[in-house]
Amino acid sequence: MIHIWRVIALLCIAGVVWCLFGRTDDGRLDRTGRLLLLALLGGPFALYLGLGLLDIRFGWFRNFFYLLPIYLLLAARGLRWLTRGGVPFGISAAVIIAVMLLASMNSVVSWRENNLERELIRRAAQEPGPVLVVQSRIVARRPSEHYRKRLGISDRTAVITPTSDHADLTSALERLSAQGQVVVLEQVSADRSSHTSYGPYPVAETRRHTVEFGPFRFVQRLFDWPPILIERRLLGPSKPPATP
Amino acid sequence: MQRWHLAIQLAILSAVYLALRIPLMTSALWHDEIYNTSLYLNTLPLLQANPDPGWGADWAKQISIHPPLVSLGYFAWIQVFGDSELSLHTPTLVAGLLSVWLTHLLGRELFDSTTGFVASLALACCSAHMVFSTQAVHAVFELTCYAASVLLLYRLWRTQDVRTKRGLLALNVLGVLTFYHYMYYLAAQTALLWWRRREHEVGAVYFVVAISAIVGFGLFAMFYTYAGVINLDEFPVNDLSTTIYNGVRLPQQFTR
Repeated sequence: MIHIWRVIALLCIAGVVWCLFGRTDDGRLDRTGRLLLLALLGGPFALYLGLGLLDIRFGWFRNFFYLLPIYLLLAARGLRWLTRGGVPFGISAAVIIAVMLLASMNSVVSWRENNLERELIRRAAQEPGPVLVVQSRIVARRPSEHYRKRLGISDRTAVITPTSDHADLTSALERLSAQGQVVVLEQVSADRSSHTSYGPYPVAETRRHTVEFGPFRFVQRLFDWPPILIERRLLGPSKPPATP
Repeated sequence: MQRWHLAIQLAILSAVYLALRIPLMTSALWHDEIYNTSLYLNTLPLLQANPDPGWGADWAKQISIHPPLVSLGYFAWIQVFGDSELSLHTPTLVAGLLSVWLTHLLGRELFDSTTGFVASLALACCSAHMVFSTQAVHAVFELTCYAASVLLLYRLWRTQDVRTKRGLLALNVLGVLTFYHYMYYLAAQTALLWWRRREHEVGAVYFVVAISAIVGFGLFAMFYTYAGVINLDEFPVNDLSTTIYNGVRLPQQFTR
């Protein structure tokens, strides 16, 4: 995906080159228009290209998201200039749109994350007893009381991140286990570490659930993402926690 | 004939745009939306009978990242239409559609109709744009504001129309109140208008106001970045976070 953004950036450069040196009758932009466009792009565009060609990532892109129409106009102009007399414009237009769709595929990854997050909360709300959810995005969003209710995060649910330290995990389990048998729900993802040991709470049962969601199912299959949730039912502590 | 051609192109763009976004309109709120919407609801804490504790610091943090216009707009919107997913996503859906149309119009005027159509179709198909146009965050408002402003500036450059000039100046106020990056563009735009001030009949008062705003923003950014007058790390986190997770201590990286 990173390389595809480089393609867009290179097409933008072609568009800029056309603005500087292209023939005036090849399009409608006159000299003053070119000057205007280049002056407006100026700093942000140079910065974007500089950063982008070195290391294009969605984070950088997001900061300059407001310039996207200009990038695309320049990319389309650059593509048209480069393919003049060669590839038919209809085909090259289809290519640039396909590139755009692929270029921000990491947004689709976010869709997947969002759906997994919703699925975790839904399953947690269905459990009659205490639930420990292991997921970083829910922790990071810090929903207010109002939105906690909207999302369906109940009082018997605790949320920690996959990278929370052992003390956090233990204190959450101690508190939850006082309310009954604890169910741990977590997502499986290749790029995230996870808790595999729950200290004095042995795992009685482990289930894996595949989560597929609506219109993006084909994307999941295409990229072979593992949309899997793991559900672990823990037994009480194998020995009572030490009392102070 | 040319009008029909434009109308058909805009209709195709709108159909593609809406087909890709309407399925997302009622999807659950995202990471940033939850936090931002909580802030929108606390935009005017002094007017509320029982303001939530801790939101003052979060609001100060927000204002250092985004000017207040979008938050105030959403505050009013939520009072009228509520904070359902559909309600929160509607303003961004409309702004996103406007941005696609504006990109097409800008492309038509800068280059030609085909280039404008391809660029705006690519924008409609861009999944980053899809995400931001169905999220209650600032990004699409910024993009739309910028595209409209560049279009008006280009039209003013070519036609020197008085109404276009007034529209551009009004849009500048809107842009400054919508996102801080607009200041970079405003600086370039002010330099261009100064160069052509006689042709466009732009008064000295405008330049004084614009330059004051740019310099003021520069000082704000300088203090913010270098002098540590505003230090985000010193803002206390909202106390709600500790109650939400039933006393589980949050990792340090999530408390800022």
